[in-house]
Amino acid sequence: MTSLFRLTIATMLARKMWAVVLLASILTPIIFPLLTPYETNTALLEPARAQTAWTCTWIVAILWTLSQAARFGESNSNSGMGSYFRSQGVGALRQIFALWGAVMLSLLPVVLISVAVCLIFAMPADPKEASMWVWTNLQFATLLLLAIGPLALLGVGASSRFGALIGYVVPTGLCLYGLYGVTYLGMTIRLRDDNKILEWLYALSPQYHLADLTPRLIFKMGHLPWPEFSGFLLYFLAITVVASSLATLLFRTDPLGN
Amino acid sequence: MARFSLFFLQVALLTTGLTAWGLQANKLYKRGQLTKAHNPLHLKQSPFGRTLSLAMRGPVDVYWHRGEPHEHPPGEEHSHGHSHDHSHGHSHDHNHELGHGHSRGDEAGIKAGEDADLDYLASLLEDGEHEHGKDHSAADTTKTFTGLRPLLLDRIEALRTAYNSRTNRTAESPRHKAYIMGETEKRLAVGYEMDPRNPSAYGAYFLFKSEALARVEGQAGEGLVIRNRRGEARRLAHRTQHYCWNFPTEAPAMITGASAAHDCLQLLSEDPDPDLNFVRFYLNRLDLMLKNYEAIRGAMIENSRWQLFPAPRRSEMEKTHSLIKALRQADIQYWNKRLSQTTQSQRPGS
Repeated sequence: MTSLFRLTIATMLARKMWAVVLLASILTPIIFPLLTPYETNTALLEPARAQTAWTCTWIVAILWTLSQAARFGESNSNSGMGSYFRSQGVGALRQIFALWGAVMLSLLPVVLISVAVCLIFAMPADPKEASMWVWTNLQFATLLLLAIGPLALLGVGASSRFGALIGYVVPTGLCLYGLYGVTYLGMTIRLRDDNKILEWLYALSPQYHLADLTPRLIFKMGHLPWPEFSGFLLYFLAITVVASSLATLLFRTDPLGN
Repeated sequence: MARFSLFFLQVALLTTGLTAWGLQANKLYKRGQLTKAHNPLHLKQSPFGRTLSLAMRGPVDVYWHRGEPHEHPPGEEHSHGHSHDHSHGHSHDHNHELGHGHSRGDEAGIKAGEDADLDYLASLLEDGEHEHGKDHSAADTTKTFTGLRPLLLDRIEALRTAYNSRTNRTAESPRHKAYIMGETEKRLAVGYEMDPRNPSAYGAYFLFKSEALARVEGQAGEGLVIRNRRGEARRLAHRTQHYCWNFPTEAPAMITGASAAHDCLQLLSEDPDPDLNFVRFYLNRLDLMLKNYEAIRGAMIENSRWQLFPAPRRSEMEKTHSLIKALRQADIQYWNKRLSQTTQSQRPGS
């Protein structure tokens, strides 16, 4: 497991995209808040920084982490590397988690930078608000990783069987749907409560928008109450169980056609 | 040699193509044929736009309530339409409600001789509250069935409530509030553009413009900002009643148009020297659109197509209708007095 993990990390380092990603996650919270009318109101900068940092993290997670997951999943089975590692005694489960671990590890610095930006450059002055701010950021980091992690695993699994395109489009589509589409579906249901099919679809959709705590940061709403946060954790853990079992079922180590 | 001339031919073609492209584009630009309103996927004002306009109220809600929990039972009308109804007809009360300090010079002008009307409107709004309560209980009785689907929906609803709950009780700064109001207004604008015929989409957007809600309270130059926004509100109301006039067969368009025409009259009443032709025009439009709405509704109830509107949309239109009907009476009284005053004052001069 460790050699495949190290190989994946080394490959990602050699591709050098990490430099662009890290630079973007550091620079965007500096540059984009300057687009707000901050000249007349410097108090706009802090919420804008928090918003940019976390939005950037979501974009990186969707564009980079999920695409890397799909790419490694495909190349592992297609290039014969998976077969090789299996012949070395590394089973399918250990392989998929090695690939996934490397991809997720590369997202971790971006999340940490977002938390750091919020804690260093957007900290509220009021001590009570400050502690709430810290907790909100930590809750956000946890929920974001819990939303993206299973999707990346699903990406690795699906791409090893169906190719990188499917392995990227399906988790990304699910993620965007859960972030934005579901809320519109919810509105439709609340406006006309007679469609059972839509209600089922809504109930069984992954509500990833719950993991996006950006409004709590912009509006300084404070952290999620802890009992509710544990409810969120359980919800996303349940999705994790479903997604990861599906991913490991789909994962294959050998090239297609063998 | 052949390769050489082929290269030149390609370069020549490229140059001619670029020149022709540039010249033609310039010509089109000068004719103004390149200007096109921003309308991704042609959604605005399209049939899909109507659905999106309704759905837009979800994201707007979060900004409007600034994250405070705001639960409506499924299928019940949104508080927007409601709060709008309050403010829109009842600008006096509204000012108190929101605690805005800006004075409106002509309030006394409206109050004169119309207290009875305002009292009547207040009672009407209270009736509205009772209706609201009835809707609520109706929604509750339909919600008693059990099963996996309602359970899941309830669970998700609970998660949503937690997501929108507010832990931080520290007060907001006026600038922060202005920022949030600005965000709300942007979303309302998109919702309105998607379907200008929607009474609530128009109403909420008009309220934001006319009350200049998206401003920093107590900032220098506040008066100018309010005046500018009211000008925008007037253009918005005029545009809306004009747009709605093109859909004489649609009940929502007619009721929105009538409410926009009333808004135009309301804003004109604040003008010390209003254009009386406009006043007559709007009074006429208000009358025609209200009558048309009643005719459409009557016909639809007769062939039982009225039930095809979802219940919240029906009650939204009915509430706006009863309010606008009462307001029209007030408008007619007020303007009759003012029109006769001006004709009297003009007669001796002429």
